[in-house]
This record gives sequence, structure tokens and C-alpha cells, in this order.
Amino acid sequence: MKELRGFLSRYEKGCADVKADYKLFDTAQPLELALSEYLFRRSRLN
Amino acid sequence: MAKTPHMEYLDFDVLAGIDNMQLLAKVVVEGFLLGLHRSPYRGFSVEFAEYRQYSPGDEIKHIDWKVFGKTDRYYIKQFEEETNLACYILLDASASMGFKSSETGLTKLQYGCCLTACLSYFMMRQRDATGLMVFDNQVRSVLPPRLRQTHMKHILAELEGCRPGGETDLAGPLHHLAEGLKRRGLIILISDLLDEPEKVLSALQHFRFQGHDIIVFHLMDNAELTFPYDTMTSSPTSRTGRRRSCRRRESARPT
Repeated sequence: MKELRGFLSRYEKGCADVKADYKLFDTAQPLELALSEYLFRRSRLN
Repeated sequence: MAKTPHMEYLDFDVLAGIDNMQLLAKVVVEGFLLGLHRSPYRGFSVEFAEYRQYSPGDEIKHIDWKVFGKTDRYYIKQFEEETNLACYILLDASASMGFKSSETGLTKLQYGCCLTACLSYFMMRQRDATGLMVFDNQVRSVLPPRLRQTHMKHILAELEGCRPGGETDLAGPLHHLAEGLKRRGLIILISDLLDEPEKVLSALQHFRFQGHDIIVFHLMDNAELTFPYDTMTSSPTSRTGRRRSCRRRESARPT
């Protein structure tokens, strides 16, 4: 689990460094919830 | 109700959920039609940009006569241009994307295909040209960004024929695409990112260097995030086909 967290945080931090948006999707989560949450967050940051 | 051909991945519940939203580029982009995004060029939106001194060849109707009355000089009033963008959806279809931990759930690739279909429809509805690149360790297919109605059908047909296979090598196909892009646009990467982070981030940096806006959708199965394994087992890794040992809890049976 520690390695997994490290793996995810490397991508999250690396994406922030190149100014890319990063969003982790758990495939057990309904797509409409995950996508609408992301679009809402992005529109607020814009 | 039976779905029409090539509609397997277009989920209308998802589209209804994001109906009143917009996906705007964070950077200036170079489109070819009027749209929602900031452009590096001057045009005729309602947003005032700057004054520019009149030079021979400019149309007289664009001269601001109020400024001429105050300064005795000719100035042209310029406005921001708002444009559409070219969106490239990059879908990883490597073998690892075929993983699912429950009988009833979706594989990561199926989830990614639903996401791609919904995003394509969403982007084209806001007048943004959308293209698709499917890849594993090499580029499998490329549909260049288009805005035609029939293009959506091509994207859906491509997604329906998409099967997981091949090793994961994100960096190669990403660099390959980055070298071919001429206009600044939006890059959406959909992948489980099971590759060396340094190589992937270097490829993303390549897009960023060219001025593209980038979104990374990292797809993970719930079992990959919670890792519910507590007894030793071995299974072929979906990425390379080699066998690997790991602990497996009796209740969890990955397919």
C-alpha cells in the first residue's frame, strides 16, 4: 500500500509540475459522479 | 430500449449529469471556428483587448472616432478572439487495461471507452473538434479531430472494436503524437499509467512545451487501490504476461 501511495503521488506531483490536470478514477465509482465532480472542480478553478 | 449500432459506450445518464457544464481550456488555444476558449489572436468578441495605432490597410470602419476626438490620432479598437479547440483523446488499450476485480464490474478499458465516448460527445456539443488515438506500446489507430456529426459515429465504432492487448509503453506513442501536432489544443490522456512515471511525465512535458493544455485521467480498479489480498498466489501480470506472486484474500477473486 505504501508503494501504491508513492506511485500515485509521483504521478499527482509530476502532473502538477508540468501544469497538467490529474484525476484518479476508481472504476467502481459511477462515471457520471466522477466526471461531473471533476468538471465542477475545474470550472471553479478557471 | 435497444441501442442503435455503435452506441454501446455512450451513456446518457453521464451526459445528463454533465449537461449544463463546460470544459474550458486553461491556456490560449488555436482553433478555426468561433468557440468558448481564449485565442492568441485578436477578433470580435465582446471582450476588449487593446488599442492599436491605425496603419494603412486597416479598415476605416474599425477606427475609434471618440479616441480620435480626444487625441487627434487614429486608433483601432481590438477585441479578444474566442475560438474552438482541437481535443485529442489518447486511450491506452494495453493488456493491463483489461483487468477487472469483480464479475459484474467494468474493465478499466470499458470504463475508459465510456469516458471517451461521453467526453467526445460533450466536447463536440460545445463545438470543439475531437480526435481519438488508441495505443498500447505503439499507435493502433488515429482519428484526427473533426467536428462533423458523422465523426462521432466513427469514434464510437472505433471504441467498440477496441480490445485490450499489447504491453504498456506510454511514452513512445505520446512523443509520436506530440511531434505531429501543429496547433495548440487540449490533450486528454486516459490510462492506468502502469509505466515508469519519469518516462510518462517527460512525454507530458513534451505536450506542455508545445503549449497544449493537458488532462490526465488515471483509471484504477478498486482492487488495485485497496489491494484486498492476504494469501500468497501467483498470476500472469497483464502488462507483460510473466508470472508474479502476490497475496490474495479468499474473498477477492480477480478475473
